[in-house]
Amino acid sequence: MSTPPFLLGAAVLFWGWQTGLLLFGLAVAVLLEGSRVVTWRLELEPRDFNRVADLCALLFLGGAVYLFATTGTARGVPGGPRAITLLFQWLPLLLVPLVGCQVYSTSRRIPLTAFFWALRRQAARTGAAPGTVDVTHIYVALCVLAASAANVRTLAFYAGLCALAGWALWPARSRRFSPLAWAPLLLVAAVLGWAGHLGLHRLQAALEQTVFEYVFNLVRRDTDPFRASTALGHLGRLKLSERIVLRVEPGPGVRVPLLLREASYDVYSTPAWFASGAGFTPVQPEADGETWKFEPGERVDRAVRVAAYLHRGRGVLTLPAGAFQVDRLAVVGMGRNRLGAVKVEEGLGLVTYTARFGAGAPLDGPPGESDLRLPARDAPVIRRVAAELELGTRAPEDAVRAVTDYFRRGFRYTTWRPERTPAGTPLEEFFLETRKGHCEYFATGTVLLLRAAGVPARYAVGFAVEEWSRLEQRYVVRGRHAHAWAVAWVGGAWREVDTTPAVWVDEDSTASVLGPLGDLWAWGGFLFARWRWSEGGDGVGQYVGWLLIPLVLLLAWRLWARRRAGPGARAAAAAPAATRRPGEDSEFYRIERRLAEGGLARRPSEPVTAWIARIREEALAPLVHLHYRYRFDPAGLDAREREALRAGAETWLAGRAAAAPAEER
Amino acid sequence: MSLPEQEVFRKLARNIETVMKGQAGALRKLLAAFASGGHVLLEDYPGTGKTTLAKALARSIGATFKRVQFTPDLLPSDILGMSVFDQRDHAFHFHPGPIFTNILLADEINRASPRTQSALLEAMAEGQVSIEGQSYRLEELFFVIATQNPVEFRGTYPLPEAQMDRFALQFSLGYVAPEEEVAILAAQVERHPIDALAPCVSRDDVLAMRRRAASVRMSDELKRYVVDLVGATRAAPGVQLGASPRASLALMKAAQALALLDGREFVTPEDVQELAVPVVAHRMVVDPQARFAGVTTAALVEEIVKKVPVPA
Repeated sequence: MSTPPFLLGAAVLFWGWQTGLLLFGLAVAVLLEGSRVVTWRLELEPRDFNRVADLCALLFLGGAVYLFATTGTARGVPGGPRAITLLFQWLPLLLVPLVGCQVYSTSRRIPLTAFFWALRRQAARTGAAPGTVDVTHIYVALCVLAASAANVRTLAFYAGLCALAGWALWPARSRRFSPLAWAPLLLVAAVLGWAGHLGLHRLQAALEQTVFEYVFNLVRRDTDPFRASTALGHLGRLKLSERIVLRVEPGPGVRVPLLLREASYDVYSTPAWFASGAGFTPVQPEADGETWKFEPGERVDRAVRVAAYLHRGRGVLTLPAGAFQVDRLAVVGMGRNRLGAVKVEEGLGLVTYTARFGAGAPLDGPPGESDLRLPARDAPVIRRVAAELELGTRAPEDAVRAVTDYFRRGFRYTTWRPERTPAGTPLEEFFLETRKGHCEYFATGTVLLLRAAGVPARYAVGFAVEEWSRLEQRYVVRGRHAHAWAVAWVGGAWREVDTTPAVWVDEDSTASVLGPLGDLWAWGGFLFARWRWSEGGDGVGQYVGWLLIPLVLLLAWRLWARRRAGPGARAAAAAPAATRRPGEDSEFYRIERRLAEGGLARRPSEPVTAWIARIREEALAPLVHLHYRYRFDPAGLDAREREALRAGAETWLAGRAAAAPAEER
Repeated sequence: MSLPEQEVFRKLARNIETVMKGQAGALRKLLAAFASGGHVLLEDYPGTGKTTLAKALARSIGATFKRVQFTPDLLPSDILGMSVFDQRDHAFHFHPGPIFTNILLADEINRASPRTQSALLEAMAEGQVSIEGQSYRLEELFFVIATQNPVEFRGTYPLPEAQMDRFALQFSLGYVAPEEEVAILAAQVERHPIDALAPCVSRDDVLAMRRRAASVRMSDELKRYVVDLVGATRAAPGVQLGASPRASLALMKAAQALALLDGREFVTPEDVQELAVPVVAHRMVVDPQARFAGVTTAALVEEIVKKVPVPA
């Protein structure tokens, strides 16, 4: 092993400590450092290393499949990002066979063919000996990397990292300078590194903010939480999609039909609703990274499970009224605004989450002045109708009931609007002439009438959960189930007020013969997406890990069955090959060693005269001449000259020894 | 320690230095090649003193000296000689060409056609020439010093690899330091100092020096080092053609001569390292891709010298 003593073990223990796999770390550290104690070695050939490397690759792949499969199923959410993090944390464990083989092998190095198929083919073709690599240093670096994946954000990680780096660098330090100079320099480097990392962090935050704002300006999302165009005033039939956009599994005690909201808006300007002052504030996840709370505290309440597609991993969540917590949602960023819209970022293509909801509406901010404002263009007709219903004198509860009754009595649902010369605004037409319209008319009318009655109200859009799919055994929500309704501030809480006639769902259904086929296709697509985003089937991945065990055992047995050799085996075999060099016992080598200890080592390709010129030891020239004659002149030295070489070297060494303490003083 | 043969070296060096100033390194290489019995190819820009160096060496030795200016229309017979019909006695008489000399200066060798260049092959390798089916021995002291100009490409024929391999050393002179150049100007105010150059050693001195150089001792370890260096050129990346065993041989002989020049009776690793580039580099061929990337054979050899561990 070329790493300094116990560096490998320390790195593995550090990794175990940081990732919480201390027991594994301990076992691996004992295994790897044990090679310093035991005397036997395995005689491994490149072929064996190839097998072990293949096994490691297999372990890695198996681990990846296992993690991707189980991180999701165990808790019912896609676990992609988390699986990658875990895989990183496991990396040192997955590579143990390879590193173990290196430290227990006679060659102490791993042939490069173990890592590259192309090199294996080349080696098989040319028969050339492959290049080798010592992976222990790389493994130490990997351990640190894997430890960083645990992301324990304490100073301990950095301190450990610096200690490991210092330990690794200690044997490689320049001998020319005292360790007393080396240690403070290392400390300075560590402090600079810490400062640099803080700076980088700030820079990244600033950069992300800038980029986010820039991109946000460029891209419009599917549901814009700031603006909802309505189809008020559209002519002809509204085209409504049969595409399934959500799949919903209501928990116990949840009544269907259920409204799932995407966003609310507070300012109406024909024909669109706007959200004023609705900037997003980030929501921080709980410790597990998948639970997002909008309101502190624990509550046991109703829950609904929703599977939704996110376009490019971003979108607005559909949530029931009163949602206070979202569980098992694997996204990286979440933000909410004061009107109850929740947007997510950097999720997968398909997210499945459980929304917990109850009384109250922690997502919606308290009513403000904008929740009572009537748009100037529509104010006359609204006031007129409000006066007819005598809304001004009623209590909020009463007003809501009156408005609901009003729409139920004289209005009909339609998505068809015949062409005619518009008499006024779409709402005037709706109230005074046609008395027919779709949900957006009803919702807008309701909101504005309630505001005229002095009840703060907002316009909400989302989906109505109505359709039970016998095929999928769950509720499905199609594009045509998109709905709009009002939320009103009654009795100190927000309440949903849906005045659209209940027939709207059936009205909208454009049952086609091919409908069931399309649904089947969509279901297949959903199952595929769910598998792809690693929500997992029912535990196939769990068994992959078990499959690997016999493989590992088989390989361990095969390695053990290899001939083992004592520590000197390779050296003994190589010894006869090395020719005896004349003049090997020259005393000059002692001088060379002494200078090397002082950090003035000769480079392997540097001739001695060039070397002593470089290190300003020209006084050695006569000795070098003698040494050279002893080494390279086949005639050699006579006894007197040999003695002169010995004596000269002794004198020089003695002089150096005397000078050394003087220097230290 | 001073050997009579080393004295020959010293005298030669001193004599040439009166003409060639500031070229001590090049002079060492030239003399090492001369003493080892190898031939020399000087490659440098015009006006750097290639021809002067060659002439200075030739004039310093009491030996015959011929010079051939290579041109595209030069024929092999212009170098080797030919038989001419004598009308008086109705017979062919052989007229030896300029190659029958002790020192031959082949000026601008790359201007002649490959056919003419090849006429030198046998002479340089074996010390004999075959003309019209008959072999003629050359002088025992036969030394070719060729020059070529790397800038001009029009009307030149690059030497074939086999021809390159016949030269023991190839090196360039390079520009001298400004002070040296001033000295050169000063020396030539009245007349060229080369005109005043007189022979300082005899032909026999030179032959004795060559024999002495060949007997300089070299340890097996250093021979192995030479072989390792040359062998490494064959495996270096970007090399189409590595150096031949002839390169190993030339490197050994030149190192022996250099050791003698320095007054030693044995070769040191320093001698081998000093001569590795001039002896080995010109024999290698770099593949086109590497050449396009700016890789030169000299740089490759330098890299190899820095990579192969030296015995110490």
